[in-house]
Amino acid sequence: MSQDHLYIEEIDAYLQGKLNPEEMAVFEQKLNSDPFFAEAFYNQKLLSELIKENARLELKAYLNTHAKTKVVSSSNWLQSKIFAVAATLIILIGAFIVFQYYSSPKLEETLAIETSLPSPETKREEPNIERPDANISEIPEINTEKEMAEMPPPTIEELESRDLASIDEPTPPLMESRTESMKDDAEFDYKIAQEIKNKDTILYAVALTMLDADGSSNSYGTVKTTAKSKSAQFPAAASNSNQAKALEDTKKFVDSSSGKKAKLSKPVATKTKYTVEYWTSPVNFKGYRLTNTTLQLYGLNSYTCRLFTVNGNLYLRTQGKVYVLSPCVDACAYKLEVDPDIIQFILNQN
Amino acid sequence: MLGSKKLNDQQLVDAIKNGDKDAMVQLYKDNGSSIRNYVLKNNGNADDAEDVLQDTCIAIWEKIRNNQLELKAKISTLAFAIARNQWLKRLNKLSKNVQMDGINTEKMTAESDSFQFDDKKKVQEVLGMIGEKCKELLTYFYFDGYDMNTIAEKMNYNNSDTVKAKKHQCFKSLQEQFLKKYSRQDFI
Repeated sequence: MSQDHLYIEEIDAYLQGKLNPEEMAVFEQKLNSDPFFAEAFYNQKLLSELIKENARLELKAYLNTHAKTKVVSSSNWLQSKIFAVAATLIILIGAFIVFQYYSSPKLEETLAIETSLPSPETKREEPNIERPDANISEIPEINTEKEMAEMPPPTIEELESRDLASIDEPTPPLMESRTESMKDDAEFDYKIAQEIKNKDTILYAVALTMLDADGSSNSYGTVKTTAKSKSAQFPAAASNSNQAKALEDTKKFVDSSSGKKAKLSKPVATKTKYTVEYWTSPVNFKGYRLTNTTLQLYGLNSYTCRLFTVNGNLYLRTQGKVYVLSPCVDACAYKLEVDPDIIQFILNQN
Repeated sequence: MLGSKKLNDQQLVDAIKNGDKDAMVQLYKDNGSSIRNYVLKNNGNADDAEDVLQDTCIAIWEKIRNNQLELKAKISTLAFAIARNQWLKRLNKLSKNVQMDGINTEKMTAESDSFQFDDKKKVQEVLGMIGEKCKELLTYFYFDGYDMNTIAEKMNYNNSDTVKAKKHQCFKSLQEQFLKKYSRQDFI
């Protein structure tokens, strides 16, 4: 066997991970000291990668011709003309079947269409993607004293009642607002069947400020919601009962927390929109992912949660627990908030 | 597909081991909507979704052919996990320009140790420089990870020594043809 031949076999063995640690050390030593060997090695590595890539391209070409187009059946079908004598008969029957097959829309056709078009869900998602960014950057405007007197600030209660306004059935205020996709029952069932995503919904993180006991900075923020929300700014015509309830709630809270270090004097209501998705991980992972607009929650037992922004941090409240969420593109573990004041503050919210 | 049945997971694995590309098509159809939805919901467009879906099917094909897959979980679960990883990898690549919070940048640099095959035509051209038999043999060896005996069986050669000699001959020929026209730098 030529030197050349040995080289090729040795390099193959290395590339396929078939060398033992000793041989590997010798191999790497040679790679570092012998430039001819190194040249041969890198060329061979490239060629083997080219062979693999070419094989992948061939598979892709197969997928493109057999999975994406409607004409899936015809090639298999023509091959089966073993009975050349009965060819005409087969063609006649075949024509009949094909006629039957294409005359009514079948599952296969819808599948094929689905592969060539983006699913309807994207269209629905697209407008959502742009909005929240704009929303985040908006700074609450400070109203004048006069306006404040005319229009009491909306409380969280009121915000929620607006989120839920579009839903006919009576819903307890703690329930998250339902989204369009939730209403699409067929789609929802399908997701369960995949055992991956259990539910998704749109939630608004209500921004709250904890004020010092002296209430030094008790300015109201103007409510900003997304364009999708029914009321971009709360009109002065908010119902009187709502206002009364809101005021009462605020008062109650201030009373209950008086004497503590921090308390809410007035709700400030900047809302940030999140798409919240409840997932079940196949490996039973518990944690979350958070980007600008999307929050994916893994392994939660409950599908009801609330989001709050306090002092610039995002908090998740679920089943009587308060977690602090930081931006996290890959999976992060849930982290319980430690500050008892903040926990109490958030638990006291409606 | 008139007359063809839907395969269960084990049948699908067996079919792919036998080189049945229609099994891969089934994989593609079965997992199409969940993978597409995932990519679309995570800032990808329809083209991205299609790429990830195809790459996922091919990755599973490769794993099965190389005996790297044990059927511990459902194939759909596996497919989704692979698709997720592939999409995160792509997002990482994209974020070289756009800085995103929380993305692990160390992973990306480790990934860039490989060759670039953006130009599909070039790849196909190189492999077109050798005969079909040679291409088949080299693909069995490098892509499918088959040993010499298996290749001898698949390609009707007398024994593994014949395959070894053939393989050497084919590889040398590919190398020569390649170096006449290209150098490694063309793919880095």
